[in-house]
Amino acid sequence: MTITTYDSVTTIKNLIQNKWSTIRPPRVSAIWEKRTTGFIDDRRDELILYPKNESIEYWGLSGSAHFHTQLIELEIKTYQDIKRHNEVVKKVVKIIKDNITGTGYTDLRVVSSFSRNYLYRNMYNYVLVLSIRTGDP
Amino acid sequence: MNEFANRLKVIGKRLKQVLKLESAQEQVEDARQFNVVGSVKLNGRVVRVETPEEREDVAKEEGEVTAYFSFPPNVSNVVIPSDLPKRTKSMILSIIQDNDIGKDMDDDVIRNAMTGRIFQGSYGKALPKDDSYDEGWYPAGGKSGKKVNIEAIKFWVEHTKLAGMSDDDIEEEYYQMRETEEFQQFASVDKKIENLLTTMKSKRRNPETTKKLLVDSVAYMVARKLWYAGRKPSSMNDHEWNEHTKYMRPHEGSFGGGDVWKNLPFKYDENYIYRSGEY
Repeated sequence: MTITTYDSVTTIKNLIQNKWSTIRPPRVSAIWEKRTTGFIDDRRDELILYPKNESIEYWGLSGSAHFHTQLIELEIKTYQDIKRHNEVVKKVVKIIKDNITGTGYTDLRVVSSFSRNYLYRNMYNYVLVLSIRTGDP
Repeated sequence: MNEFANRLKVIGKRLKQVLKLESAQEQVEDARQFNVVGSVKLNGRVVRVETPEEREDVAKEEGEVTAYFSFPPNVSNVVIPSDLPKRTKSMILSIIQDNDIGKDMDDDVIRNAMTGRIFQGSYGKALPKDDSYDEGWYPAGGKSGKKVNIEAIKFWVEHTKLAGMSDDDIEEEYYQMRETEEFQQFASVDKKIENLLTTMKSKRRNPETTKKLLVDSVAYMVARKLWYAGRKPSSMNDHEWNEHTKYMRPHEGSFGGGDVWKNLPFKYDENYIYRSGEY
């Protein structure tokens, strides 16, 4: 039995990165790749993936198989205006919904979502909580 | 016979209410395992239903039972489907509340700040050790009754808490904070801050002043929370620490230095619910 935490971040990252044909793609990064040095006017939209809890359940008889549920926080930060923000959030959700099943995982779902716009002035911030489930990673 | 039937009806209703309370309490307790703070509400009022006896007692009142979880002030439009398993719900709530002890000061910082020294060991992005949060720091300075050195806290805020933030991040953090009621309260405490704020509003944005203001205000609030509510040890969850210390909290204004709650009700009384990483 192994874990799925880091693999699932890579899976989701690859999935999201490659599907932006009609609109300008944002930068997608895992939290450990996030750039911390700011440049002047660096206002590119950013998607940040934070792996959170992984719950492991016994699946087969006598624990011969395991089912893993990994929760991932996907933070969407955009800077331009609400129109662009809405566009990016919708696109991300669409990509995820289109890939509810795929190679390397059993299912991928949006299990919760909330907005963190409320107190920001120059930034739009939306959070999707994703659940990615895998049998015996 | 009629009376018997009526009594049976009442018992049935009450039993139903007990089951509802039990289910809400189970959700709250499951969430506690992920360090989520929540409570059971009956008709919008928080009720204590930890034991079967308490549940029986509370069930005498009819009304809507809910498991209530507070969200940080910047979070809105939360969607959590109701048909998710309890465990998944708890995990989602932990992401939303994000009660992370790693955002609080570690033992070395507090110990040194209590004796007036600036702790430079965690300078930069040093990772905390696994015993960094072993001790419990009680409200009102614990046994010693001492207040922390604010300069030491400022050093920690600047070099550890805000370390690794870009100018943009700092600016967003500052603007986010400026909108909160706590910040307005803080500004009313210190004349210098009020003046600085007015200058900030009238001039163009300046990363240096923004950072200074943010460091000052965060340090003040962090020190104030430590005084009124303490800091839990890593062996306890937020709920346990809250229950353990809620009646030890010192009275309003005891933090000193013009800590007056004029426009806001005093936050850190026994009804305050302790949460890690929040101030």
